[in-house]
Amino acid sequence: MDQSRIRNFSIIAHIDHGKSTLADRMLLRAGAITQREFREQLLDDMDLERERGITIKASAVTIHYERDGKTYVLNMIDTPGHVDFHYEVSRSLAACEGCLLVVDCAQGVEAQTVANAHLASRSELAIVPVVNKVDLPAARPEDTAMEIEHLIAHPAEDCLFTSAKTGQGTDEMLNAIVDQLPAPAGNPEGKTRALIFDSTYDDYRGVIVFVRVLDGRLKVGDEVRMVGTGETHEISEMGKFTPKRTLCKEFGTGEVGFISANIRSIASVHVGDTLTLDADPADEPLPGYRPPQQMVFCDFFCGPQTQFPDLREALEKLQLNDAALTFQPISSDALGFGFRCGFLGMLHMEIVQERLEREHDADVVQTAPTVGYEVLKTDGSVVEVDSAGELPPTDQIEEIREPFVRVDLIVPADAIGAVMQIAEERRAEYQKTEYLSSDRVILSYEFPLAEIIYDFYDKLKSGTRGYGTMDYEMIGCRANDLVKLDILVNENRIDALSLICHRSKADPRGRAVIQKLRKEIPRHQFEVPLQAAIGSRIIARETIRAIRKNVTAKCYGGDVTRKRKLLEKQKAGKRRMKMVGNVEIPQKAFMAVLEGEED
Amino acid sequence: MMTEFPCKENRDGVCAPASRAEAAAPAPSLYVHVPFCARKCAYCDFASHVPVPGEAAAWRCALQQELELRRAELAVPLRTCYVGGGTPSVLPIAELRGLLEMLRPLVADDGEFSLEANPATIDEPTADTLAAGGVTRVTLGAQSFQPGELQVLGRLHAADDVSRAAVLLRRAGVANLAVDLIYAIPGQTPAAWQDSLAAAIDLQPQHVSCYALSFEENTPLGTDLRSGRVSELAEDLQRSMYDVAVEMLTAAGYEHYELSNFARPGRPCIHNLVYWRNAAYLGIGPAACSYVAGERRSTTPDFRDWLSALAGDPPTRPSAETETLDARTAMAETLMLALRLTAGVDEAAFKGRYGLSPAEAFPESVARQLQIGTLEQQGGRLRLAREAYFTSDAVLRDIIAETSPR
Ligand SMILES: Nc1nc2c(ncn2[C@@H]2O[C@H](COP(=O)(O)OP(=O)(O)OP(=O)(O)O)[C@@H](O)[C@H]2O)c(=O)[nH]1
Ligand code: SF4
Ligand SMILES: [Mg+2]
Repeated sequence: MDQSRIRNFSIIAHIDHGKSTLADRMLLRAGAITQREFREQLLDDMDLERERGITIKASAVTIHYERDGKTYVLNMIDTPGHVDFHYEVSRSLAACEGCLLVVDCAQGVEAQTVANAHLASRSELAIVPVVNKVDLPAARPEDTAMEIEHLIAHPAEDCLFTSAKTGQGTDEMLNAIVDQLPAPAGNPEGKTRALIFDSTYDDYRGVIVFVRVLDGRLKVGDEVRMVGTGETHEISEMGKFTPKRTLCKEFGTGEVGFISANIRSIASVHVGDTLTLDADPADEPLPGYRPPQQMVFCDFFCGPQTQFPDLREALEKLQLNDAALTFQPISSDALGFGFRCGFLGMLHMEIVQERLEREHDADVVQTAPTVGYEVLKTDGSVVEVDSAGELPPTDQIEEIREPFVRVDLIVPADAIGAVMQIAEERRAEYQKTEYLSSDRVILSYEFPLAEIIYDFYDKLKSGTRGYGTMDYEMIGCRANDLVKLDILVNENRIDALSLICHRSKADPRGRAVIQKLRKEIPRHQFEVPLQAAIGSRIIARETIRAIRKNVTAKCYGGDVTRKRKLLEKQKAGKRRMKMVGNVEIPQKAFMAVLEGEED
Repeated sequence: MMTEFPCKENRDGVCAPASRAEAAAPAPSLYVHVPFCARKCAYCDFASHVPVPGEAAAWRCALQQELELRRAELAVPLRTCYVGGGTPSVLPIAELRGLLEMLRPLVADDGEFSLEANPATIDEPTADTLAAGGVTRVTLGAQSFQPGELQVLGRLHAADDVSRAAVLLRRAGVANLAVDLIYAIPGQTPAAWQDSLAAAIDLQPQHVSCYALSFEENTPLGTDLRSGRVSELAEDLQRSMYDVAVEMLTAAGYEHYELSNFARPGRPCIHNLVYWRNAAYLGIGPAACSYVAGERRSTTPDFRDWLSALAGDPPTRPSAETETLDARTAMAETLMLALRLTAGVDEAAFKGRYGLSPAEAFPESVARQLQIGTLEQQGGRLRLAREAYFTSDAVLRDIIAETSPR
């Protein structure tokens, strides 16, 4: 393989700007797929991806593109646009020399456009800006090109204009990839170094490792060593997705592809690790990446139909393909055994929950997501606490620190006032305003992470007529006046319902949570008192009245089946619930904790 | 002439072990569905319609065919035969006579032969036909004795039709009478309900049923409820109406033997006890249900489908939904039904039938409901606590929820 004919690039953009559809177009144009095989967002092959119409996991494909009698090998990585999966973008970029920065010109530059563009420039990648969706009636290609110029100092007139829908601009885009992106550097004679940028699990082949060869070469039969873990394995198979799985014998310098080496445990493979030859190892590993950082945590408990070992197995299986998911067993006084899980964000959490239910038929009761706190204890030690139930006793707490994030909000200039007010209500600290164009600005803030994980995005959208977008990045923990709010159901303190919040908000929050619980917990055959408390001080209470009537008073004759089915139907809605004492707490009630203050 | 049900003890929630073989054997009970009414009541979602001329005769012919096709499932002589609907008493006299002539030879001499009647349809010839046809028990659908309420319900009869019908039936020789009442009718006051109860008691029937009105989808009343034209009575009011019915009827000497049913000593509805004990019965006619040899069968409710299958040459069985119960479902159904009996279920008999006691079969839910106090155990029986009668579905649902395999 002629190294000068290789181009390694990622497609990056804000969510829904058309990355995956552009990838389809290039596959079609390069003849990698036939018109008959063509289907929208071909690379989004997970059921959930297809259903939600979003990319969750980055995928790498190789296209052979002929031009002027020469064949170029284009290794393309389609990345997700959602902020939760930003991590996928950063590791994809590390395997590339360039990227396509795609912007939907009906929307203009949005928050993840900015975040991803910055990531690409920091990684010193060549950027080809692509103004997409020019076919839309609301398209503003010139304005969008100007915004891009402003963002990355790339002349507006050099932008490519495409429509993934009609195919317009596909040739220009492929040409730009060949002409404007550099071929991989790297020393073919040097000691072999390959970056592991992704891995998946296959029941038959074990762990499949995606690599990008930086120096030297890899071939079938090579005994390779993973520098980080020190483990060695023999390469049994290697190949590329074109997008069909196509095997080959060797990767030269600059090439991208997958290898399998009969690796059974995903734990042996660290994404970001360096692969080298065991017989002739490289001295310097590649820089690698920071491990993904879990932003939110929640507990999964077994629903009525699921057993603990099955839930563990299901989580382990999911983790094989989702290295960003963490979990550890926990036990709750009220809810029994379960797992504390860490996620990249709310969407990630939702997806894991949904996959557990669908792919593993596990019904889980999930506690409300929380962020990870740090507690400085009176003895000087610092502990990490990712659930309110785990807080040490009050008299051992010196201070509680909560995570802060730097938040960039891109909003129309005329919505600045509304957005600032929303930010203020959420304890945000204003940093700066930057104009993206005459009518769009980037507002930068520092927020307590806890204030943005739940409904902040919805508030932002409604405060900006749908135009506002946001991106955030962890900065670290800061001490704050935080208290633990306990919730008692039928006189039982339910650890899974307790929460940590700012003292100034505790009272209204407690009232709101109790109000919500009153609506979500069904009536029982007895009265159920609800209370919110800080320490021993009760700050809110409510009572759920007992059911007075629940009887099939009518005679069904011999139609016993119908009567049973009716009762069964009532029970079917109860898959996701937990009995605490004799009180049924449905899934929705656990989410009550997210309720803000009373409006 | 008191009928003995072939179970060891009349009040058992389940059949004694000896009757287990019966579950696989033919059924000694028959239900006959008459799919006709003179007019549809406003709350009714039963399978019935106003017949066009000739339909009744066609129905009876087809019924004869169905009976023959399924004859092997019946254990004759029958202990009980129940003609329900619909309104059996709207059948033209000739058809009614023919029907009874067809059924009577099947019923044991001391068997219970019940028929449902609309009070407005009982005149002297009808009453005589019933008595002559061997009917031993008639259920009068009185529902209410208040003209306004009868109108809300869309009933055909007038309040005083009930006593007139009772007199005619008794005079003709049908001594065992049952009266059905409905409460929680929109607009009904507690005083009006007590008046209806008193009027029913005055007639001195052997049996009284009190059902809370339920608003079914696709009925005029159900639609009115959804659109807000009528509203449901408050739960507390419904509950107090139930309580007052229990009070007045027990004071008048009726035994509260099932959640909604009251009988003079020795006069429960034997046919309905078959259902509550989860014993075998055969049902014929459109929409009829059967439970024979452990299989539940619900015949198509579509009159035309039912008719055309049986009118064919040769006649074939009408389409039906069937379900063969696994052991757990059968146990759950047995409990679901037996707990409607105030005497509850005999735990040893249950264990004899299934090999597990209720508390062994449904350990979590039974323990939970015992702890809450909605179930109680006494003298080897498991039963609903009195306070839980009006919330019994919550208890049953909990038990049913435990049926799924873990
Ligand atoms: N009209 C029009 N629609 C487009 C164009 N490109 C993409 N779309 C549509 O925009 C939506 C999003 O496209 P995707 O390709 O899934 O976007 P994406 O950037 O991959 O989205 P994520 O992976 O979720 O970040 C889909 O409904 C596409 O059909 C275009 O050029 N014109
Ligand atoms: S008489 Fe009975 S079956 Fe007929 S419509 Fe009225 S309630 Fe329904
Ligand atoms: Mg995509």
